Amino acid sequence: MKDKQEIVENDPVSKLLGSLKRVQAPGDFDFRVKSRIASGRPVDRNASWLPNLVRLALPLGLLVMIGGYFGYNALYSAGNIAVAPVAVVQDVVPIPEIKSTEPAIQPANEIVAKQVESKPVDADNKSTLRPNEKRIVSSVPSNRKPGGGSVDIASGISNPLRPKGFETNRKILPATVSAREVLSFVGVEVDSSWKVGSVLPNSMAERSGLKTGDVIEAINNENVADKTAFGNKSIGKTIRVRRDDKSVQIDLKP
Amino acid sequence: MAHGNIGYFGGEAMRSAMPEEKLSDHALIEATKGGDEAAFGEIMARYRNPITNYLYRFLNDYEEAVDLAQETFVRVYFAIDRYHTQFAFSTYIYRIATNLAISEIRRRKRRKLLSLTGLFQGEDDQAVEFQPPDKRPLPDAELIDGERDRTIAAAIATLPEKYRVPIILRDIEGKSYDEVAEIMGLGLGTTKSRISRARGLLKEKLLHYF
Repeated sequence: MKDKQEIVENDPVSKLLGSLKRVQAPGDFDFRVKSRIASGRPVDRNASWLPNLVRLALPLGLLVMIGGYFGYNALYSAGNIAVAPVAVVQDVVPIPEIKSTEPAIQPANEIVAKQVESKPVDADNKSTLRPNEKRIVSSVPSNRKPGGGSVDIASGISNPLRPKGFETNRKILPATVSAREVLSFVGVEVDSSWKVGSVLPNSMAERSGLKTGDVIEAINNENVADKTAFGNKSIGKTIRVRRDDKSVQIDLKP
Repeated sequence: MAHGNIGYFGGEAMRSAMPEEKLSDHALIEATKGGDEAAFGEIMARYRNPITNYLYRFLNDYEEAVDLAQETFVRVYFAIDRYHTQFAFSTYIYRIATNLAISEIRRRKRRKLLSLTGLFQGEDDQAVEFQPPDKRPLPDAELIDGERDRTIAAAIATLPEKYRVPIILRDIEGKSYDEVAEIMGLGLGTTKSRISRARGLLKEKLLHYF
């Protein structure tokens, strides 16, 4: 204590600091120390904040990923689903009295959607909900016939599923066949000069009397050429051939 | 460890004849190494108040000071086998407390809790942390109840660590220059110089008390 006495005597700052009241340890100090010792090891006060950060970042990242996945799906699937254009939250007026003459159940299409700023609700708009309750009513004009709603719609004829880009309004043009295809269909094979090379046995051509060596001149009175095309509904009624320098009209027998 | 063994058996012999409060620190340490919990309790009884007071003046936060004081004893206990009796135990325990307090101060700086860096500028361009006085009520309100004490405590807290440690040890804890130098691991001249400089800084901050 000799040192301290010297300090107090010599330096005003030392005297000032030396006059400060001393704080005491709390009463349970020893108990807390022994508890810490019993717990096994001293606290690592210099532990890095990085593990805590990682501990927080991992679940946070996981949440963001899951949220992003569902958000992405909701965003992009919403564009492909036909949704009722507008849904108006409508205040429901309490029923003043229930008349015995009114039907107990209103048909679905008689619940008329109204805008919030519209006229006072008429009798048709009354429902069995309590006051202050809100009900979401579709504002889509309901011009369907009464009949039970979604069950009828579900059991009705639905639009067939078609591949993307398929145009349902497009007219189907009649198919055409060439003269050679018509001749092949009736059982005749011709060369480039329309000369019959062979006649299939038991074919329409054989039954009608076409012979090898005949030169096809016309089908259904239409002169044949490479570009000649016929409608698929009028294939092969008559064939005109040149046989022995004479034109012979042959009626095809089915 | 021959020295330690001799000390231990010597301590054992002494304990049988002397009450623990009259044993030296080294004897108590040796007894603690042998599993004598009462000896460690006596060490705590001797140092809990000085260490708590020292850490309180260092941190200007009573709860944190008590927490670090407890941590100091826990570390002493777990490292007791590594303690060499050629050093004074008081030096050893103050050094542990100082290191914990400095770590705590640096941890605070890292977290930047209530830290307004640059508000005060210390010597050698060392940034001094601005630490407003702790507003939390103390368990014993009589300990620090005067405006003067709070002002002085706040002024001490604004000192850089290298000045704060020696002046608290010297002028508040009453350690000799040699002890302060040993605790800080510095030469005697450097220690005296820092204490002198710390007094000068405090005098500037507390002018109206002189």
